[in-house]
Amino acid sequence: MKRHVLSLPVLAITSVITLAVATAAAATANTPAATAHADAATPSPAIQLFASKVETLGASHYGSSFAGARLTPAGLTDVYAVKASDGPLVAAISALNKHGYPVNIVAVSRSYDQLNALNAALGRAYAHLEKDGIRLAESWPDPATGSVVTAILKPAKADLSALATAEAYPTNSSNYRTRALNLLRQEFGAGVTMQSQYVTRWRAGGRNNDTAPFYDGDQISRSGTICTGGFNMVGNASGHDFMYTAGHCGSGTWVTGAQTVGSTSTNYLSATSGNDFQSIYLAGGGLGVVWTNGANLAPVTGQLLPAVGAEITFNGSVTGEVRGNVVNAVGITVYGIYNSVGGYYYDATNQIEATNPSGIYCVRPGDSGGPVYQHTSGSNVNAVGVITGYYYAGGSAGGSTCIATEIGHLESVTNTSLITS
Amino acid sequence: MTPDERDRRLARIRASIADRFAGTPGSPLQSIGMGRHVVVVRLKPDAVSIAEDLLREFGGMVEVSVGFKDFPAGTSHVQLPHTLQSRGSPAPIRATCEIDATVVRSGAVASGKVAIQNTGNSRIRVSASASAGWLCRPGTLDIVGGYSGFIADAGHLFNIGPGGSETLNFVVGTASSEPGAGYLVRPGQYEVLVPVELEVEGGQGTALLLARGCFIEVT
Repeated sequence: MKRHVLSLPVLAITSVITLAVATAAAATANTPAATAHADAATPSPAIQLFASKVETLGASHYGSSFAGARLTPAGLTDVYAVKASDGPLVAAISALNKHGYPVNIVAVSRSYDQLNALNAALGRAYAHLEKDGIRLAESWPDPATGSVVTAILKPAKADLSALATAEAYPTNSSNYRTRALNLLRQEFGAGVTMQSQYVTRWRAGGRNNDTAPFYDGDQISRSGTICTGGFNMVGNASGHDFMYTAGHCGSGTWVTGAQTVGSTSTNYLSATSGNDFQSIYLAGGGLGVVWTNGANLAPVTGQLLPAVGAEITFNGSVTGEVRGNVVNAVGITVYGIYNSVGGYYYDATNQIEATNPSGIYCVRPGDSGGPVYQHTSGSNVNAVGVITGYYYAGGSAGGSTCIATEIGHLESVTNTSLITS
Repeated sequence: MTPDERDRRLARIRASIADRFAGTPGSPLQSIGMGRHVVVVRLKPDAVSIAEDLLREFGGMVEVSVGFKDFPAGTSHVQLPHTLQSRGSPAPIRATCEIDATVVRSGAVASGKVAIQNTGNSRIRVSASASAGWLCRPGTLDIVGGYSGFIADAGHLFNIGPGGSETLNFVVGTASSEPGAGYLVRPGQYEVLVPVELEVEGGQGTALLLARGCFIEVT
């Protein structure tokens, strides 16, 4: 429903500038690599690997110039770059190209970083676009056209009405696509295009098998350990998206039931830090939308430190959404929390404690790291924190007095900002 | 006193209490935070004398609990179970308990492991959790006490072949959960029962097993 896709099945090369990579010029016609596979349906594994390495190199080191790489069926690697004469990029590709595979450098209008930023902005706007009558199914960077392509769902009557209101312009099924693209371009600029056909929505089965860009509250696991993704945050310095979960869940590569989420970037928990959280780098981006239960979602529109006596919601992926937990205290330092994952004790600062007055468990094992929030008077939520643990007082694992790290403290320590809708 | 003055005073009290126990091995503090016009202090179950000192020094500016119970009322501030009950038996799984120490001082905690064994003939994938045990009267399911601190736990997913087993860590404490019985369990012999939640993949449902076989003497 919301994927970042870097290579498209169909590309329209607008202007081939030069065979700028020195080794490529000689290779286009008769290199062994090229001729051996000229008639083949797919290029050789070696050429595919080379093209992938070019993509990785460009994205990781030349994101402000490089836009993407695409391997043609004939075994030609097209490299899209803002500056076709970018010396360092060309030199780096040449250094990779030890076997003289054919390479084209193609000038385009937007870089990898620009396209990714635009695509991420579209992802963050998912909820409010839906309110305006545009239901995004997918969006992806298209380096060849220098645009981010959107695919949308066929509009329902309510969508036509919502878009008409948003645009203050009469909208019907005949002009819907034009009006929708117009609104997208008003907000995101001319770099947004739209597929010519409506699509059906990708079905994420729910919070257990989400795909990028990820929602808040996904069930995630690593090496047999199950935890919950908390709120997604953006780095104030790097601009990168991160998912946060509990530090005591341990570090590693995290997955949902559908795909890899990413690896621990920083685990802030140590014997003395008091910070029970970790960041997971999201190459595929994150959204400011939280699973409320099952397949239902709510936009995250702000954050707050709850008052003592206020009701907050704990929402781990094992227990699900539990509302009506009354805040007992805030700014708590909790000493000697028992972590059964590693069998050790640790302290956590800046905690919020709340109790469910009906004795319903607010946290069970596997909920750690999950989102804690307060519902607004509408259908939105305000972020409060990420789940740390519980006060064990029941006949099975879990508890009805639960603690969470304050979201403001997490932001302060990690120099990140909450991603909102 | 204005609300601002009261907040400043509460902040000073909080800092004062936290500072006096900072870096103390085996600190009696379980948590300290800001409640509604009070500093909320949770103490370990053997910290009654400290609770008395705090109330004497700060009066109504602090709200103190010791172990599972409010101080000095002695009533429980959380809903505690009186007995344990197993539920369901979805698969050929046995859960047994192993404890690291068989004798513990009143007020102390002990740790151990629950072994989850596949007693069937085929491989199973099972999610399991067990993080704390309860002290029960030997041979009964009647709870007298347990661990009164906070717990952080992840879920665990195991893939266990026939005859194989996996383990989970657990902790057990000596805080009394019985009404009117003080803050610590009485010295004596107890059985440790560890609730183990299981969910076996393949539609065999969920179960709550009680891992048994651990005995502990509280002195």
